[in-house]
Amino acid sequence: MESEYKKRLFYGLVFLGLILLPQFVGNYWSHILGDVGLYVMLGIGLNVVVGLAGLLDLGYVAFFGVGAYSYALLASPHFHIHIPFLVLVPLCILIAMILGALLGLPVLRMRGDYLAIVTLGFGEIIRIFLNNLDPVTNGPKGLLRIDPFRIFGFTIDEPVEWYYTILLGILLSTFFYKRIMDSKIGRAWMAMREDQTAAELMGIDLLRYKLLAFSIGASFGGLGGAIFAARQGSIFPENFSLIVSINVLCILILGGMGSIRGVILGAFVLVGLPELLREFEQFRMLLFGLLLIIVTIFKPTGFFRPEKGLKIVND
Amino acid sequence: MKDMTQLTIEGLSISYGGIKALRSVSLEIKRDELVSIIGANGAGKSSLLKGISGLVRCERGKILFQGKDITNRPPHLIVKAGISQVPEGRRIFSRLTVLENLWMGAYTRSSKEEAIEDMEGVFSLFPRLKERKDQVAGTLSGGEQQMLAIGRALMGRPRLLLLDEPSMGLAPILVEHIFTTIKRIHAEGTGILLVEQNAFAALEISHRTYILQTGSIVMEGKSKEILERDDVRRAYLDIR
Repeated sequence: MESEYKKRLFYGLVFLGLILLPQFVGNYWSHILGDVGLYVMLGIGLNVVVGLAGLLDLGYVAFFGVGAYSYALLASPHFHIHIPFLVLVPLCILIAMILGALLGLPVLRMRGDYLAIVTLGFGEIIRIFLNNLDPVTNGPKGLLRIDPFRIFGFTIDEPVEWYYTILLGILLSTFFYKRIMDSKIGRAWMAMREDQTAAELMGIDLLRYKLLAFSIGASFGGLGGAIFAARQGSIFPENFSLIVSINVLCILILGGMGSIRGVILGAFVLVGLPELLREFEQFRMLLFGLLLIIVTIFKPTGFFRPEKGLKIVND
Repeated sequence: MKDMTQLTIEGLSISYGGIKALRSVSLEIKRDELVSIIGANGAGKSSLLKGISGLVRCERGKILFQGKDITNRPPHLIVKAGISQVPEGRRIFSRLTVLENLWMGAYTRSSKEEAIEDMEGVFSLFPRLKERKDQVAGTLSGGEQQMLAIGRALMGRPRLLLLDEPSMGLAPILVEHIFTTIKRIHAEGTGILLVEQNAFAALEISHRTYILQTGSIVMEGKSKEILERDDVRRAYLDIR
């Protein structure tokens, strides 16, 4: 197919561009692009919960935070534990997933606004825990000297190296996201998102698929958190405040729910743009807010339509 | 199976926050029978269907399907047991296409080949759906949406089909079409429990009918006989 070929060529070129990019922009922008990338990862994860399963989650930062603290506690001088990252990162993802399922349990019967409020509270609870649980988390003083990723004697510590690490994380996340979306799980989520009662009548086990949505969605947050902790080298409870959840949700709204391209664009606009606007100094956030309002007025459903989730025979 | 009964309901009560919607209702459907339940608005017809399909909790009573107790089981297991419901107001997935809707109906099926076969069956019942298979369901007409809702339920290959007000909001000619199709579905071997406000149409196509009034069954019998009764004609058919 001609168009399929063109599409592949396009994505190939974009990918090549992304690989070469740090060579042109230098350390500072590589770091910013890393930030953008982390938000892309979180955006993909929240997209599972909100975009695919239709569950409005305002506490997504909790999983990011738990991923980061899990990594930091088990790979820093704080407890004198130094687990190698290849073991620890999957563990962080697992912990985030368990927490996702735990959050899912009490909110299974809630829909819409009520769900949003409870998850918002959950996000705050985790942050306050991190802040007040001094003996374990070191409270507001945070965790310092966190191990970077080390592999075969090579240490990832330059912004450019982190950029590639995060890029790899995004590729894995995207691959995973697409696979789930096209699976039977993705189909169940889609039905759930469109109409929960109708989904039940199709024989879809709502409880099971809601828990799956929360825990699979959380896994991306856990991965992002672990990378964040290792990259920053130090983390504090304040890194995981409500505004992160809001920002990630804004990325989805801006880019278009249920779309990966949308998430990428949204992250560039929401995380990258404020940096570009830095020269406007104190007007920067004002200008940024204005841009958001304009986009909401002219593109109320975001820039991209969701990718189709049903792979079916057409006859 | 020891007898010919497919569904048995004994003393079923359902209430919503203290308000009784159903008071000790008992009924049964024999294998491959077409049974209708008629009654006015708020008589408890929909609650009865929702109780069977597991969408609302039954407070008291028992529901047996093919000899197995399915009282208060979660809806997805009841679908797997072989009962599909076409819900009130159709509840099609309006942003998905006709084809996608039908595939959702086949969610519990393990064999794709069988599901494709069933889809051919649905298309032969409703050729209209085949013509519109790639259309977004929300843009279908009311009648087509009802066809889709029925077709979607059939994709689960139910042994018993629960229909909640399939005539609601449809033009008389479409009502006739839908009811003819219901008869055909039944003739092809699916048990049907039909809930209707359109008492006349329901009595015409069903074997037996239960009349529900403020949560209780007030009359039960062969549809033909009920259709003849003057008191029923006056109360439900608006014929003097």
